[in-house]
Amino acid sequence: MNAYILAITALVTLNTVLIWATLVLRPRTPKAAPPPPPPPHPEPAMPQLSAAAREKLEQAAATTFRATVDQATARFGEDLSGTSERLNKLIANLTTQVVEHELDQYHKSLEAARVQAISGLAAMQQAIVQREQVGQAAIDAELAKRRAFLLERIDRKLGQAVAAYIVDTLGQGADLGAQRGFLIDSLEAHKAELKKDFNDDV
Amino acid sequence: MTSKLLALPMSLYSSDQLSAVAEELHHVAVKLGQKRRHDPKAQVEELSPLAAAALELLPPASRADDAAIEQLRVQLERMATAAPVVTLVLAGAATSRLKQELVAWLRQNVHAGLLVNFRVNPDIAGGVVIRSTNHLYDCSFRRLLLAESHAFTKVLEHV
Repeated sequence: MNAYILAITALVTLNTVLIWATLVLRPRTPKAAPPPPPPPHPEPAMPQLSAAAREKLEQAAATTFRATVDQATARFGEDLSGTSERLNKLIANLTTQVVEHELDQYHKSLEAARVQAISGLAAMQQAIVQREQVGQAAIDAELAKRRAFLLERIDRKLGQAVAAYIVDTLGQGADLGAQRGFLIDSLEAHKAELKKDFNDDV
Repeated sequence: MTSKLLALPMSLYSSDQLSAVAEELHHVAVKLGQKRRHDPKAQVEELSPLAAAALELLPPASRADDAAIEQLRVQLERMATAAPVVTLVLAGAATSRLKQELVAWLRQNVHAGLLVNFRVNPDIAGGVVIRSTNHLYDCSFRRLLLAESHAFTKVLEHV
């Protein structure tokens, strides 16, 4: 790339020098006197340079051309160096921006993934808690049912045992005096039915 | 004097008692009539407590009248067969005081002319089984212990 640019620059410089040389070395006509009228068949009189002068001019042109090329090459080198430096800086900046942008996108994606993961985890935890609650409620209900069944069975057996024990122990010796309140309460509990029975009967 | 108006003493509560007292009063009336033929001022001799309590149903002036006593006997016999009867089954023999309390409650709250027969059945363990003319109300400890066994500690408080 650099070689291509350098070649173009050299060609442009050479062309400039050639144009300049053509313009400088062109023969000049005096403006004071008008030219004489041309003869009927004039032959053009071409200026003739001596070989020494021509050589001298050629050397001067070559020297100038060389100096110009060197100067242009130096300037081009400097410009190229500056351009390269600016390009490097630009590339560095672009690279930094791209990396930062990519990093930013990466961070955003990461954050979105983290939020989604947290949301999913929270939903999962909530589902687990709900399942635990439902399961616990079912277990509690089953335990309560089982407990009630066992208590009812124990109470029934215990009631039978206590009744048998009381009958065997007290026999005819039940303390009815202690039952007085219970007996009155029992009559009171069936007072309405008894009144109805006997009033209807009478 | 009618059977409805006859307010029996609390000590006289069962049909068996009424029958026994009626029989005793019949003998008293017959004996008093025989004595009156020889001694117009003859008085009633020894009576059982129940017969004495029944005799107090008559006015004081009639308590030495064999005809009035005979009329009382007839009323008592009629009541023994016609009065409403409730049977109370207890786990043991109740004292006279307890029986009279129960009879007083029944006559005050259910029927004034009610007769009460007491029976004993130790198998009920306690409490009472009430048998009316057409219903039976089981308030025995046994039933409570079997039907409401969770309350047996409460039942035990009355044992």
